[in-house]
Amino acid sequence: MPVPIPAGRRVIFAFGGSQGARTINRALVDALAYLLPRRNDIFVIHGVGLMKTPEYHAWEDTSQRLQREYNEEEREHINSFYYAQDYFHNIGDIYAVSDLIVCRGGAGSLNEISAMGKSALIIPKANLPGNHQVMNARAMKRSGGAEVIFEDTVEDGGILLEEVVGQKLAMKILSLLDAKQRLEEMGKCSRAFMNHYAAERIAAEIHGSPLPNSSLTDISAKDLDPLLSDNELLVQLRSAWQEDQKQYEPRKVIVDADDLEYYRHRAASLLTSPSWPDRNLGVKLIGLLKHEEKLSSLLHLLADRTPVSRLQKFFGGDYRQVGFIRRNALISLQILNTWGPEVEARVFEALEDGYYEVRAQAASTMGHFAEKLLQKQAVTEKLLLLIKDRSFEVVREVVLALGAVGGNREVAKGLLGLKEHHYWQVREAALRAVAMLVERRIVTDRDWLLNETSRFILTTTDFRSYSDIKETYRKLHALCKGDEEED
Amino acid sequence: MIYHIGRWIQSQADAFGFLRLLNYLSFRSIMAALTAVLIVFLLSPRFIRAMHRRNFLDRVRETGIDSAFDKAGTPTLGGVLLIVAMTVSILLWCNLTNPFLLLSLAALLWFGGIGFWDDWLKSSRGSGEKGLGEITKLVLQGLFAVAFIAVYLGPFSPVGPGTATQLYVPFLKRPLLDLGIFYGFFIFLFMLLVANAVNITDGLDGLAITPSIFVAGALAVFAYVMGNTIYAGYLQYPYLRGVGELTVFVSAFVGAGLGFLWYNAYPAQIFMGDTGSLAIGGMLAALSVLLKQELLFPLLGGLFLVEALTSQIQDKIGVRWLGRRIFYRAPLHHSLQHRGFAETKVVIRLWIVAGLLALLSLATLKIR
Repeated sequence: MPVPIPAGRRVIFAFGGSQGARTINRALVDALAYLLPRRNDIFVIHGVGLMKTPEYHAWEDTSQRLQREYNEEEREHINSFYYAQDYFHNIGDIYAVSDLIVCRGGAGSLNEISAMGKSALIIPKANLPGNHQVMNARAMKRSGGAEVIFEDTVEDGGILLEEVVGQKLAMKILSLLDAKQRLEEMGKCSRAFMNHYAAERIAAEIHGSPLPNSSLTDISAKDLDPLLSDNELLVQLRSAWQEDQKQYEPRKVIVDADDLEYYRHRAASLLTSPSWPDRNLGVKLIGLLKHEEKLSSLLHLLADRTPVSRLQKFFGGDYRQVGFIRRNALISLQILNTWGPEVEARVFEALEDGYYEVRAQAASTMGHFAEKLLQKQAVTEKLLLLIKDRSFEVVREVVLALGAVGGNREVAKGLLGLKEHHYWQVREAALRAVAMLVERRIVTDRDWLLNETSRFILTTTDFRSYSDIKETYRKLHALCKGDEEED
Repeated sequence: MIYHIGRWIQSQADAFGFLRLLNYLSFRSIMAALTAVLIVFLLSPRFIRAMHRRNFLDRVRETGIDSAFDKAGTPTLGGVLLIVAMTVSILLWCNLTNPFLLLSLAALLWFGGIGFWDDWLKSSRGSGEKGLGEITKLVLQGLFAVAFIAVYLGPFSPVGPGTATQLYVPFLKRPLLDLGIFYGFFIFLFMLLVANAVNITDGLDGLAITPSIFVAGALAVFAYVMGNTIYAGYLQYPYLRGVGELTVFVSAFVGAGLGFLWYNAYPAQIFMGDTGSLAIGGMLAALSVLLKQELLFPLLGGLFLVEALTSQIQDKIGVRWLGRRIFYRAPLHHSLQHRGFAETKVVIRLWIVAGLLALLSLATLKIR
């Protein structure tokens, strides 16, 4: 045995293939801090890998990280339960003594692990063609032989990096080690996962003879739902959301918790794409997948004021985070349904955005979070200013938001001033907003309201919605008169 | 056919002199229009039922306009009706040896054929998205344009080799310049643009057909003038021998178009489909080129042009490149709907605009 393992230790073997995996190496070094308290009953074997490219030198990067992250005393402790080597010629021996194996989702590694009947914690490499490592990991996890952690894609000084947080890895390792029974079962499932006796199967196929073992009949792939592409995912989630916005939960669409987790990671990685349609897709998915951890990324996109090229500016472009991205970020904030001072600041800024759809959506988002804004005079004042916006879409959303947020008679006056607005959609929204104010008991002077609203232009240019505005008007009047009788 | 038979009978005996009537463009134009209208009226009810029975129904594309979803399930392929009625009427009443007529008819049928193929694929694949590919369509249209240019600029050009490459500009008496070989490139682009512009305009009930009638009608006036030595001389247009036959051609279209509008007016019982819109587009492009009115088209067919441009700018520059909308919605008619105008209101207002543009264009006959 080349690795000196003290007796009675539970062994974790972590490696990222023969070349090593940056994500696993870095995460493992970081995880050591959280594994440290358990140094007397665990032992970590680290296969660092042979990669020596200018971008990443596995061995040096790992030892430097150890130097940097830990002081001398800590390193001494670490050495008592941690052994690293660049490459193991005798990997079978290492597998044999391991209780848990942390690895990539390559078919080679998983086959070996399955053949040895070991339980695995798989960190599949993201962004590969066909996501095959993710498919492998899902299959093994479904069979019960493995657990999965997905890597995040993060931007670090302009370079895209995949990463797994060390603490997360450590917690997962410890929770698996501590559940001995489960770990044992996982080992059994792992052994059953792969199709063994390949040579016999091939021989049987060639000779047309029956299989040597009747239990070997099923060689079809394990039944797994295929992974959805980002666009398919968007379509499914969005239709669920549109069906019922109040009860919407991504879990109802993506039932498998691991799949949901994976999709969230994938959506997050889209945010770092250089192409805006990808980032836009990511923004939509972050909201629909309710990936709350990425709230700050959405806010960051909203605040990003990197300009586009002059040519694009000439045609009406503005910022690197294009209009659609900013609009959809606001929609996603609304779906995430999390309010806070920073969110408020960004949404407030968005009311002054140069692109009309962003202003309209910002107003609509304000309306959505009306409860949090009731006491804020600044918001009402800002919205009242926007009643004069160039775009009727903005005015309409602003008016509805005022109905939900507005807190005084001045708001009602502003709304009633729209009685001759060019767009019937705005006039209708104004009536609805006034009705909201009445319902919220902000305006109680009914005679004045009845008188003022009677001057609204109720004709429209659209027969399909012709009834809308009159219907709203009737409701408002019923509301005013109904209140009267109550008193 | 009637034209040719009539001429032959006339030559046999003086007693059939009254058939001279067939020599007159005006008489044949009226008859062509009436025949076409009659054919459409006779065929439509059966045709519409047959389309329903064969499930040849429109598959609506996702446009984000609510009212578009109401339209799913309306039979399409009405263009076939239009083309059949026109062709029969033309075969009956036109001089089938006239090169202007043959070129225009070829454009109508070729572009109609492309549209038909597209409609067929869309319907059989059950999706509004899965018709002919954009590239395939453009190649097929381009092929016709090339052939058309070859004939038009060749030695047997119907307008005469000298006139063919001259560029006439509205409001100017004389041709601006001789484009020579570049004229070919110019009309190539022109034909593709116009053909597809009508296709894009065909988005609301009755929106494509009426403006097409206005445009074709105005072009018919030009055809009548340029095919007549006296008027052409008086108004200082080049006299194009035989081009008057296009008046009869356009009349057949006007007749068929009115018949089609009968069923296509809001709420539509049938759509023309790509078959109709591409056929009309190809026909209008060919007519404009044959009558040397390519540069009048931006005014005369301004509606089609604006529809095409808004659609392309919104999609190619705005949505795909800049990541923002440039117009509320595109093309123009959807933008108007989004602003809260009922479909009928949008359609009638755009008819009025198209009519005014046609009037303005006719003014260029005199104001030069």
